[in-house]
Amino acid sequence: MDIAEISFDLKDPQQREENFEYLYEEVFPVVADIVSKQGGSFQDAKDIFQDALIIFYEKSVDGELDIKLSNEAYIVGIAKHLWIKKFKAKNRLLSLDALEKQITLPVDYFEPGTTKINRLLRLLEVAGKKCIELLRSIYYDKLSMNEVSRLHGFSNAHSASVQKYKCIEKIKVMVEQKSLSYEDFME
Amino acid sequence: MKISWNDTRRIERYLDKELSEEEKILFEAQLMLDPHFKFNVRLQKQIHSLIKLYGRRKMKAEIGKIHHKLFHNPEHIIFQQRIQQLFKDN
Repeated sequence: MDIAEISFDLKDPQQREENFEYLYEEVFPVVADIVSKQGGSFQDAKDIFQDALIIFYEKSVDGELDIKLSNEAYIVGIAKHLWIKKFKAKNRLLSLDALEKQITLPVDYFEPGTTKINRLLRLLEVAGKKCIELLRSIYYDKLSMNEVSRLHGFSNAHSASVQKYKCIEKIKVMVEQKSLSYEDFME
Repeated sequence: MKISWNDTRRIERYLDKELSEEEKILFEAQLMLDPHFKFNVRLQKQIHSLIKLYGRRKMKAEIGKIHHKLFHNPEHIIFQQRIQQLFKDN
């Protein structure tokens, strides 16, 4: 498998594990090498690489990847940005090339969830597991309604769509009962 | 609170940027005039944020499992040694 061919298969949850494992084996050593040369630990490399993979995944499903960079170069670029963001005060600077400079990190990625949000998420996982998984496929994994319907066992995209709206209604009621304030969320 | 099914659909289409120019103008006018509608939009935005956070956490867990496999499974011993080598002096 060529690393350049991977990104679009990441969307398919069934192939995702295999593809992520492949990326882990290919790209983690590169990131670990950079982190180690910057004086970082194995744990730093692990944290940074895993966040880089998640951000890479989001950019990939959002169709935001810059085609001028290979997947490997992209993940390494994100990792460098993460390193600079996290440790810039403590360590020598890591240089970014012109293409890497164009990579941006999602602004809402570093906001910690408030206690209220964490409690609500736990509640949703218990009381609305099916709904939250369905909405995850739609909002986070950005699957089409046909793919969603196949993955979640609906007879067609229309039934999946009907269920999507039922789920939104259900979760709205739960969120409202917990009366979250707007400040609990990042915009 | 009574939530109309129709509003929910329109708000979704608004958040997905699928409304036509005309629909968008009407939507934004209603947003200014109708506090109940505004509240509804806010709730739906919150749900989007919540699911994103959930998605990220699940993704982190999936990746964590892969990490565990690569660093604990004997079949990946060469990979493990290669990484250990990098951190031996740190």
